[in-house]
Amino acid sequence: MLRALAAGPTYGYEISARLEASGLGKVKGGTLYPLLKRFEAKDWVEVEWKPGEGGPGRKYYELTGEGRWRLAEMTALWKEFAAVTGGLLSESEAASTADEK
Amino acid sequence: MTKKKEHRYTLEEEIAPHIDPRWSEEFILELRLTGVSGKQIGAALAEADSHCAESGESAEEAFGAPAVYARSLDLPVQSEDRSLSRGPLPTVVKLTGMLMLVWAVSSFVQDQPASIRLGGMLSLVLLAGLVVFTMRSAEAVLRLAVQRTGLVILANVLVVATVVLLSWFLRQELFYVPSVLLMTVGAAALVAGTLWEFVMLRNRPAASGDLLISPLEGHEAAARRGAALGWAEYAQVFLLPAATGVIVLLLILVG
Repeated sequence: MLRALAAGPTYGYEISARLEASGLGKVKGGTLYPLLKRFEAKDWVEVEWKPGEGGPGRKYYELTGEGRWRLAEMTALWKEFAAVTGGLLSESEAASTADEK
Repeated sequence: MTKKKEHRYTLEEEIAPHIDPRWSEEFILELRLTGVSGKQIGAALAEADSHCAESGESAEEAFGAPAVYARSLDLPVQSEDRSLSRGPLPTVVKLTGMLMLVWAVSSFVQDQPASIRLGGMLSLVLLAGLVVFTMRSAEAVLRLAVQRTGLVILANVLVVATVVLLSWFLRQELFYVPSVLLMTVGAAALVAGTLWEFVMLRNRPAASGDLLISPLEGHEAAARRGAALGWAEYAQVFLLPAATGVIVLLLILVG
């Protein structure tokens, strides 16, 4: 979800729309906002209230320096995880095809 | 400027017009019970409202049960003493003063020394204990009052019945006190306790910190709600002395 914020300051509903669009399925408000609150408590995001466009005001979230750092850290970890898992999978694939022969 | 007519859901509808006020009410209540500040509650509710307005979902659909969602936000709890944990002492002093005054008046009118009876003393101890208990576990008591109102009413009836029974049956006279003395002490205690409570109320740190306002509202809303809050709390402080005054007056007239 940090990545959804990386593109620029955004607000709750827009975040859930972005996540849904990127194929993660529907993220309920009941899941989204507690998580955003935790980011806020950890100072990973800055918040600002702005008037909405023809509707009620919105609370905007923007990644802080630490937030971006966390994102980079998690991205690196994820890539490492993917590499290791990918390696293991291709090894086991090779092993099973060898068995079949 | 029109004066909005206040009804049960006025607050909920003002802060979250796109959410069912009953959902908002439960949400607010849960957070109030755990001691979250009014500002935090207002902000959380306003954000939920904004979400529902844009997504078109109902609060129940988007967030689930209000109490569960409220708790999941893990909002910070105010640690300093709020209006409930004002310290039970002033109230105990007030109550003691009232009881003394009432005991003494009828004897005074008949020009006799006041007799302090066992039942009366025990009642005083019981009431003081209840007040302390209520203020110490304010949250638990409030929760009970809201969810099991019948139980609380029953408890009140039991307390009153106990006091009456104690006073009626335990009539052993413990000692005598000159009525004038008892009346004076009682009146002094009542006035002192009331003034003490009043001063503590006035000096409460940032009384407006407890107000429920949304970050999107202006000063007008805050001022309006601040005024309403004050009235209810002043009534709370002065109700007991006023009632005592009436009782004393009646006793003098009748006795």
